[in-house]
Amino acid sequence: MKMRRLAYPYVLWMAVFTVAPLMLVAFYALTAYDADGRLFFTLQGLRNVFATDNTVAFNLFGLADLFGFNLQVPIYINVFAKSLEIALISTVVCLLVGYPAAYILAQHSRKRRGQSNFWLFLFIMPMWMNALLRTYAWLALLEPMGIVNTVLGYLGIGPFQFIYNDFGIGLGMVYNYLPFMVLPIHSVLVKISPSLIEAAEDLGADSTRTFLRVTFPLSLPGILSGINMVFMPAMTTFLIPDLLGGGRYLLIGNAIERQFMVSRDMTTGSALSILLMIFVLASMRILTKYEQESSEGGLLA
Amino acid sequence: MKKVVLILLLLAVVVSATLSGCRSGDEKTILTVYNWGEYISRESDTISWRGREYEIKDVIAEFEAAYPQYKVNYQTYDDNEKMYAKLDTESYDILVPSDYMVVRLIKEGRLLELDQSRLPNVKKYLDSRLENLTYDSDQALSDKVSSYAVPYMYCTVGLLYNQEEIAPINTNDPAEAWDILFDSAMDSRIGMYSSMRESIGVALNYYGHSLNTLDSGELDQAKNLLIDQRKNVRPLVGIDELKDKYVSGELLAGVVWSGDHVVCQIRLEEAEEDPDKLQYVLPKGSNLSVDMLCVPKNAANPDGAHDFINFLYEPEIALINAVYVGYSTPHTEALKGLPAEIINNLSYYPDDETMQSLEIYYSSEAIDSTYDRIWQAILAN
Repeated sequence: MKMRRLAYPYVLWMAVFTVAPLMLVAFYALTAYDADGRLFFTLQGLRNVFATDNTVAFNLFGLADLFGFNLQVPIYINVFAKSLEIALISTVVCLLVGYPAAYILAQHSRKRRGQSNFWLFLFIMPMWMNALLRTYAWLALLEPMGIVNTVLGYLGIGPFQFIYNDFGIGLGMVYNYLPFMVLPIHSVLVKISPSLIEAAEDLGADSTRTFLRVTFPLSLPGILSGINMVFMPAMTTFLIPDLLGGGRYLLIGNAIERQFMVSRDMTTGSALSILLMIFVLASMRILTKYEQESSEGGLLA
Repeated sequence: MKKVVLILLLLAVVVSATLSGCRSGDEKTILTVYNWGEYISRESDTISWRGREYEIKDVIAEFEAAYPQYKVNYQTYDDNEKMYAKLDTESYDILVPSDYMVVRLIKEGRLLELDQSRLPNVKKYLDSRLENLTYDSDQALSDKVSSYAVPYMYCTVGLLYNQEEIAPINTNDPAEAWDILFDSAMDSRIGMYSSMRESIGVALNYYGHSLNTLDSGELDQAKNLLIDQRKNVRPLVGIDELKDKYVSGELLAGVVWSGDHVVCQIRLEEAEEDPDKLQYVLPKGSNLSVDMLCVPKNAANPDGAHDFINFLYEPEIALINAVYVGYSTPHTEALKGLPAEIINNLSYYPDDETMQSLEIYYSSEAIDSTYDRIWQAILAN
């Protein structure tokens, strides 16, 4: 009873800052003002998102260039596809880089049980700083005439175009979101009982087999919540593509911002937000379903 | 006991400080100015320009000293369309939109008609050529502009290039002059503005079309050119941040407002480099653009706005701004103080014939929505 009363501020908080805004966005997405300033119900916003009168060539993962086809799609479908492409690639890279890192960190943590892990601390520390500042730092480092290229120039190599392209955006995403992949995997890995691994070894499994049959399956919940925590923000960010993309990238986050700030079309902007939210919720649903099927939960379970 | 006295003393200090703060706050009325970034002098400095020394002052501080009843709240934007988007929700006293945006604001009834009797300096010093330009296909509407807005600075849109890396471009033919922007050999070394009209305008001008065309074939041509450019030349897209990149040599060529070219040259001179490293070409049929001071209808302080506009037309202040900002000044007296190389350069200060060869952007519902649609398709690629 007492606990329930303690939850009231939280419920109020959720109502004011999560539920009410969501309903407002849904409301805006389905309404518009006519010439006399009267509010009316409309599906025009949703229709604008899928409008076929303004199309561009679809080129997911460069497939159109590869196979030479020309498929015209509504512009927002293309923006969505481009966001999906960059988010997927960033997530995969985060996983490939993050898993070994988490593995090494977990072994380190396990060896020094009870003590704080210095390496883990180093991983978390950059997150205390604002993402905007960290991204600006990449700009200064990797600009065509930035610090890295200047140093490489002394060594007689370069200059390289590190940023203002797909690579730059991918780098910014991986850098910013890597801790969100490493931490959940790490927290699952440290919880795996050493006796399970010892048992596998006693039964004659070599280290590769032990990893593939014991450690990896047990760490799946961590991987799933890591994917969840990287993919969602990577899909919706507009800060990183804005700064590291040389102003040329319109991802779904930028498109929504533009609808509100430049085109002043709240209806289309809200419709886009709702569709993005449905997509995000659906993919989260799928992931958590997987997560529940496998045993212990990671951060999100 | 001592502690109590100390606390009381402290309280007294705090209370008197807040009270006196209130009192001085009551005297001043706020004047909210919404201007382009880097578009008014905010520094006290000495700038040497083409061998002449200029004493620069913070114009906002000078205004607050000359009119102690006002306190300026200064904000900036870098895009006409972004400025427009804010007008519904915010109240400003001074705006500095470009010509076509001024026309749009007049049409929508968002601007206050200016009281010319409160702007004696404008009447005395404004270059009348700018009042006689045609700002809209509807002549009656164009004539209205001068009663709602006062030219602040003007410029042309042209090509900036680094002549240490690029062979001299000695032509005014738009197809030849702009060609370098679409050359894939210039991968990642080209600068483009992120504003809609400048980007589409350059592509239209390249093909020799009008900057205000509504012909869908011509617009498609421009759209495809810009989409290909984004893919193959990968230009850096921005506004104010581009200037330093031309100066450093990171970018070799790009579309610029003539004033930005002047600023780049001043920065080169400051770094003791040859300012003529960066050259400027003004293609025929390109854009002439006039940024104008105007007062929105929902301004909280229209009196202060008039005083501010009149103050900007003080000869000394207009000269400071012309030097600091680098754009062409419509102030006949300030003009006389500028270096001869600048005022004799037809790309910055076009004569009547050159002016005739340039085009002003027009605004209409059809133009605004068509161009926005094309622009979104370009951005979405």
